[in-house]
Amino acid sequence: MDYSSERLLVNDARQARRTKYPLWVFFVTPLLALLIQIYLPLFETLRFIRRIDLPLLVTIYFSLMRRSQMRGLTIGMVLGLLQDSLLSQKIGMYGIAKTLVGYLSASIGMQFDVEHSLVRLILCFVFYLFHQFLYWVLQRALLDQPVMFDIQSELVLACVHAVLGVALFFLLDKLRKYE
Amino acid sequence: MESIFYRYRNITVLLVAVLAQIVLLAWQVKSDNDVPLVRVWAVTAVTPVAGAIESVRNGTTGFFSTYFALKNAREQSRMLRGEVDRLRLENQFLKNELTSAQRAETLAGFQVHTPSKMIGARVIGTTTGVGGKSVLIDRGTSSGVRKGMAVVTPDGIVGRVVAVYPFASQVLSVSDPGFAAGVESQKNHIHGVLKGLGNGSTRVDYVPTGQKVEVGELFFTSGEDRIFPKGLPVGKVISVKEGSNFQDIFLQPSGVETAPEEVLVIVNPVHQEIPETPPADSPVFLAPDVKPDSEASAQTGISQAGQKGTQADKMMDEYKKIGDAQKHTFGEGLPGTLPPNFNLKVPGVNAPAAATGNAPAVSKPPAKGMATSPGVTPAGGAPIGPRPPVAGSQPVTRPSGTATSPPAGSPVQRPAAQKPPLSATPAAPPSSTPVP
Repeated sequence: MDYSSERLLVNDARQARRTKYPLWVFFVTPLLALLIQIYLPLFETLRFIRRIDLPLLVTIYFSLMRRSQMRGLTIGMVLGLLQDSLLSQKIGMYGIAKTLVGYLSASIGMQFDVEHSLVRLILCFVFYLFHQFLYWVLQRALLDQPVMFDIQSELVLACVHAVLGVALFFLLDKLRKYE
Repeated sequence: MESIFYRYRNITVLLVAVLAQIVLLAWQVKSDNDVPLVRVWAVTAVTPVAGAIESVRNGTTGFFSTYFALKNAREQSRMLRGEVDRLRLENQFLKNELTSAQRAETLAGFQVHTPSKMIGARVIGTTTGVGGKSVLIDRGTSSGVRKGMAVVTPDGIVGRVVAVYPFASQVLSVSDPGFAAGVESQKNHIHGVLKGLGNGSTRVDYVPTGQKVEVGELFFTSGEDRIFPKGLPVGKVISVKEGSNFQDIFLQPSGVETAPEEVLVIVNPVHQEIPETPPADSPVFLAPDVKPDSEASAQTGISQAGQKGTQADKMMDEYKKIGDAQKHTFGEGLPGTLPPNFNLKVPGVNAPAAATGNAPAVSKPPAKGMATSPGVTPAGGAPIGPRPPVAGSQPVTRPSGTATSPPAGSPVQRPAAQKPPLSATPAAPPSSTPVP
């Protein structure tokens, strides 16, 4: 049993080391997430993917693993703005939400052992709810859109995103390199 | 100041980023404008990859759909080919059935229009040997078939029964070298003996040189062989060669031109009962003799000249008419009495009928039962077809007990001693002509 299964919190800076990735991973992974988000829902049987926010999971992952607030908010902002652009809505809605999620993820990633699956599960669950709530607030506050926040469906989707996030993080862990 | 900014630079950047985006949103909402540049970048970054993926997907999908379509088409083609084969077999079977039905109908029609009593039989095998040929039919003694009976089809004679078994019979084909039958030409009524050559062809023997037989002329059975009733088609002349004494006349037999599958066995060609138990030493079945042609000729009003069975009959008939024209009665004059003038030209006998118009022989009422040979051209000029035999042209099967019918079970008489005089009435026993 390694240490990540024993502890949820990091004790020192040595444990909070930054994970390195090849440069292409930072381009290909978000691009793939966006492609999946906009392409697969074209098929009738894969329409449910529209409800899965893969760019959000990618933002959380890189923010957590890089443990850099600046990188986290940058990744979140870029992915959010691209998502806004591709979804033909006011640019900045997802940008603001994912910027905040990226910043907070990086901040929390410095306090927790993000290698732990339970931590990843909880963080994905919490950040999804936070992202959706923030987006709903922005919709109502900035765009004055009378949308409802369906807490039940959002909780279910948060669970789905948590499970998917754990699986996705496991796959993305294969791409990292250690110093 | 600088240190404070550096200390809170992350949160500062965050605030700036969020604030910038809020401003951007506010500007979009306020001016109802879009930010095309950002969208262009995003779409430009994403769409080429999406296009490539879509092309790959289309290609893959097209490949697999084409593959499965081809596989399906191949399977469908295989099924359709099997269906076509099955339908072809079925079609062939139905064609065979139709052909069999048509043959059966033809045989039935032939039976109805032929006075001879016949039974149908199916050819079930061949016993082909070197130079000879015979077939087996599925009728035997249990069906009433006897040795020597004639086997025919509507096209012509096929052969005669040479061996009988309980449920089968062996039929000697007309093309067998051992086969012989009395025949008569259609136009000039030249008599001869048909013999097989073993090669599918036949020859007519004993036709004297000088008698006119034409290529393409039809030959019919003469009935003189006591096997085949008179008037059945035999075949067509394919070549005629003059010899020193006799001609070589070759016939293409019409009955076996195409291998028959169904045949008719003539069990009662005329009014003659078949012996219940044929003699052991002479088990060959013999049909009754042919009727004199005068009967048939009288019915149709055709001149009797040239209608007799043999040349001698014709000459006797001619002499009798010449004598009648001179009021001469044959056999009454004393020795030394002058005979009639046989060189006298009697119209309709040995001179054209139009010369005087009162030919006694012609104007004489025809005798009852006189028959016309099939295929004979009557005086009126209209040719009589070779088949089917007209009523009275062949020996007609009558119920036993009639005046012309011999008693049932009476033995068959040899033809030579039976020939009646020319003035024979219908009540007389049937005349016969010796087999050449």
